[in-house]
Amino acid sequence: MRILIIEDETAIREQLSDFFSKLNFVIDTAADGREGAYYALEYDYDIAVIDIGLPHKDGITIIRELREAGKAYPILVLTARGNWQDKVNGLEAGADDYLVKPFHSEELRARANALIRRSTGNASPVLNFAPIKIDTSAKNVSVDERIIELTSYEYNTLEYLALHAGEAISKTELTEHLYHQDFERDSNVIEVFVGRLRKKLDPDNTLKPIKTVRGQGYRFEIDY
Amino acid sequence: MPVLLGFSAFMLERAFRTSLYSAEKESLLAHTYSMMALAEPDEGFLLLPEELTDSRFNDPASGLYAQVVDDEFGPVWESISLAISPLANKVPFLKVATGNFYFSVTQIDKEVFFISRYNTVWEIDEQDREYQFTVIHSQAQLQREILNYRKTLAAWLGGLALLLIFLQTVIIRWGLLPLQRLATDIRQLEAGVIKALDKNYPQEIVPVTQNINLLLDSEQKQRKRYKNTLSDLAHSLKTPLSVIRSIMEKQFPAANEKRGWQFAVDEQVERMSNIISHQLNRASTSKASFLSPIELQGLFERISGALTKVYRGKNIKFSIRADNSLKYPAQEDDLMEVFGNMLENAFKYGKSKVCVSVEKNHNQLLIKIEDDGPGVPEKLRTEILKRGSRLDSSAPGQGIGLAVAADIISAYDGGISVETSPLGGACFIILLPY
Repeated sequence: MRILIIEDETAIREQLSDFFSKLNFVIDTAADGREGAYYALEYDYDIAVIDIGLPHKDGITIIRELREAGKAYPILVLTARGNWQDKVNGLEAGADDYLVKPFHSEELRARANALIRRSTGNASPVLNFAPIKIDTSAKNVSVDERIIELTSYEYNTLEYLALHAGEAISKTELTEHLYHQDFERDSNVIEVFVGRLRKKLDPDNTLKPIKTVRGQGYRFEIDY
Repeated sequence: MPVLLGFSAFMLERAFRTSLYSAEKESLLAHTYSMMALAEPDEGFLLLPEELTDSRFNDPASGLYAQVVDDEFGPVWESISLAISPLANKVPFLKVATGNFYFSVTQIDKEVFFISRYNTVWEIDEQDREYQFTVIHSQAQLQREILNYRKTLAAWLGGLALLLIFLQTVIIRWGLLPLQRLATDIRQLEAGVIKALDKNYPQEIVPVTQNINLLLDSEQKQRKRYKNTLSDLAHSLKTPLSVIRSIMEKQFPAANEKRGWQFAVDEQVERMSNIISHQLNRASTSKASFLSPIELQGLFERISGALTKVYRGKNIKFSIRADNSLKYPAQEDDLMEVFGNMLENAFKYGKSKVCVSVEKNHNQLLIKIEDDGPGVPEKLRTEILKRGSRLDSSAPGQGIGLAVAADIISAYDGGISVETSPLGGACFIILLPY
């Protein structure tokens, strides 16, 4: 998952960055409104966390701009004042949820996960593609109620594909959303992960949950 | 003004009386001359015709009499009017100097008369004789005239006085009309119906209205500055708290022996941040003296729209029953804080429905916020709405939203209570004076 964090307070920004990188998120951070707006408009994210009070350009303006530009990814606003004027303005500008400072990292994680899930049209934290079940809050995968051991990169690849089930996802998109920029951008790596996933999920090659779409990438799909 | 009118009445009456007196003098002198013209010496006496041409001298009721008195022998001639009137022989004789006209006011038998006397020397049979021509005129007619004049004068001046008083009242009223309007406008300003005084005031009052507008403006600005300062304070206090919390989480992610300690610090951080929010809210929610009218339905719809987004996963059905033109004078932030907190609770605890109704009856606004959640247990009902007090014993995880809302409502002299809704959940009832 790729996340944008726009927060001017260095300590909080770094802490958020640490926290999400431990969760294997791909992170972009911005310390002021101008920089943040640039990232927000230039790239696609799975979620953005935007502070309302920012130097140069406030959070609400950024949200309005990126929504006008057609960016549809979920946005969580952070507000220090915690007053309703800010909350309602933020939500009306296009944010999807708010969190009042100071907040628990765990709460932010839960909210962010819920937003990502919702944005891909999944209401429940458990993605059920019988017999494959992906629990996005516990981060585990089971096939026929049997837990499958996955590395975090494998899990993230599967989760991303499953969240966008039915869509063809290119290798580039997978790389951008799943791996840090310093990660070697070799599409072979993706192929390796997908190959391992196929083996772990479907050792007998009967389900074929991950299809290769020629020239387009991969598509997660269960044929019944 | 009545003094002025009274004085002019007095002066006019005096002038009229003086002119009547002088006219009387003239006419008596004229009568004297005409008598003298008729007089003829005869056999040592001065003779006058029995009847004079002016018929009044022949009618005792006319009040005009005449006589000629010989210096030595007394009256030698009387007009018919005098001869047959009760006045005969009662006219006092007064010796006066020759050749001068004497005019006097004399009372005879309770009646007041003008008497003119003129002494002249007549040569009869080569002998100088002195005669006094006396003309007597009753004042009755003159008094009548003065009386009539007084009546007319009183009527006119009275009418004039009434007219002037009426005009004065109208003019004063009219002159004070802008002030009255100003008073009404200021009342409306206070009630929040209008936001500033308009410019359609007469020139004389414009400096006042301008100053009032300036005062209003500066009050609002000051309020804003005050709020901003408080927000900045909140921001500056909360950010370090966030940092403390994040450092805590970073340094002791899961170390078991530190858990208790971390929890304790965490709880205190939470409490500090709640106290800050709460006190800030209290500080900035003293009801302002000048409020703007807030359209309630629109406000509810904005907040519910925002919350529907946040609680999208729950598919809450929001409905509102309100007169869509209903406006309540308040600070928008205040109402937003109250209804935001109340609605958030409803969305959080409600299962599928949140209903709001706004009613105006008499001079109260009745707002009900209902949900179909678990409701509020009876024994907690008063406690959760106690303003301020709950903070010190705040259990972790419980927001301060309701306490904040209760504080604001009490600043607007309103009340809040909680009951069980027909929907099954909580029904918060807010009463605001209207």
